[in-house]
Amino acid sequence: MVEGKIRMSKDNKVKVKVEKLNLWYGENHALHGISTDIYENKITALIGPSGCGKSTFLRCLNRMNDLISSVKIEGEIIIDRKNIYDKDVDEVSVRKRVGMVFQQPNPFPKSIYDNVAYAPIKHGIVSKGKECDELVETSLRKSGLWNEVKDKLNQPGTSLSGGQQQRLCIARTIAIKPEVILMDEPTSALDPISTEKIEALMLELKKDYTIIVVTHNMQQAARVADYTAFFHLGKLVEYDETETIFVNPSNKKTEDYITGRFG
Amino acid sequence: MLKIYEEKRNNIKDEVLFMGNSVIEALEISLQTLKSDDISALKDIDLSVKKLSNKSNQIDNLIVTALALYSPEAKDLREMISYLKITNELIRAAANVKGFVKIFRKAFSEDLNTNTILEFTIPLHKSSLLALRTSMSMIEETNEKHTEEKYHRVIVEESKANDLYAIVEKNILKLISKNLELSKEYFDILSSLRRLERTADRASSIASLALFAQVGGDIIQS
Repeated sequence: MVEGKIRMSKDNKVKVKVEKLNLWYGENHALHGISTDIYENKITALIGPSGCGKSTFLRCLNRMNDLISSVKIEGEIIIDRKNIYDKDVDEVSVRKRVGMVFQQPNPFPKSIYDNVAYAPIKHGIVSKGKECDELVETSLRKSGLWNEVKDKLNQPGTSLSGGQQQRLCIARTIAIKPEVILMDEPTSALDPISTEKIEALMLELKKDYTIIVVTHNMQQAARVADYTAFFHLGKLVEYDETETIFVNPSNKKTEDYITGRFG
Repeated sequence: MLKIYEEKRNNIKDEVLFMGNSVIEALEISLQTLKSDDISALKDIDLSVKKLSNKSNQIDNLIVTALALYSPEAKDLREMISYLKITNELIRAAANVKGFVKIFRKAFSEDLNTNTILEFTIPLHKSSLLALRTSMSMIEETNEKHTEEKYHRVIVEESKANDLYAIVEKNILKLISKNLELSKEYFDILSSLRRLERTADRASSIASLALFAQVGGDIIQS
């Protein structure tokens, strides 16, 4: 496997195409010529040691790095044939299409209902009332939380357990009907039971969404991801089907990392 | 455990059971053939060790993937390791059954003392079949107590098969001493029956592995 290149899959539809992506934090060259395809309705895991660029790469996919003034980006990220870094593309519209779930559950200091309803109403996806109620219920059902919260929708989102809060954040993300969901270590702050629920949820959600997840937990990548990308020192070292990465990796660096010899 | 792992695990189990059933089916037909005294019908038994070997490789690769991707632990881990070894045992059992069918069919003839041969061959065959059938049923067993009971049943059948083979051997050696001209045919019959007896040994090994998967302890493969 050549560094920075990937094996193409004939059977899957490309949702996100990344072309020669370079990123600098000031003078620090953090991402080196990343080119890759991310497939629709698949889970892609980004793995690698701390500081390898996986979270930086993830944040490029919904232009979150635009919020950092010292960041300079070159290259293209094409979603459905449009480069999201073109000048005529509004970053807010990108973030609506590409939702994000963070490491720490971060519900708004609002009710469970409002956590889900807030963004769709702001974006004009639904109006208040029955339409909004239906969206809240659908989103909570999809996130596997409805049965646990249907009788306490007016209680604060922060009153839920950590795992429930993270599923609330996922419900909040899918309420604005994104096409892609980015997850940055979504279970690192959760206990094993909550982690398993989130992983099961990810496997359900991929039927409707393209999911890209950064994880330090290699077993998690192995369990849930269809494709896995291994990053090292800002380079995409290897990207392939998860089974290949974990059973027969092509690159020695990948093998050394997943077998715990470095990182 | 994730649903996706459960699906893969069930798939692996089904494939192992499929392999086992292929061998059991061949044994059932051969037993029926002996009982009906229609030895020529043994040629109709279609048991391909090559096909089973391919199936075994396929299962083993599925297991390697499951181990790599899902890191099973405790009972899940024991099951996977057992299946990995059981596929190997089934290949050996299939080779024994195929060997028995082929050699017995060629060597058996009206020139031999068929009554003496069949008197203990049929019980030996029954014991081998019962041992294998019971050991394979342990894979589907979920109750620990039943698993242990089945394990002991397999051990008894294996022991019976050993004893019956010893009796057949003794009887056939007597026949050889009386009729040296047919010694090659009699030795071939013995060789085929030895394979049948070894099938029971493989069943015993499968039972040990299935017991390890269900109950735990140390892995033992005879």
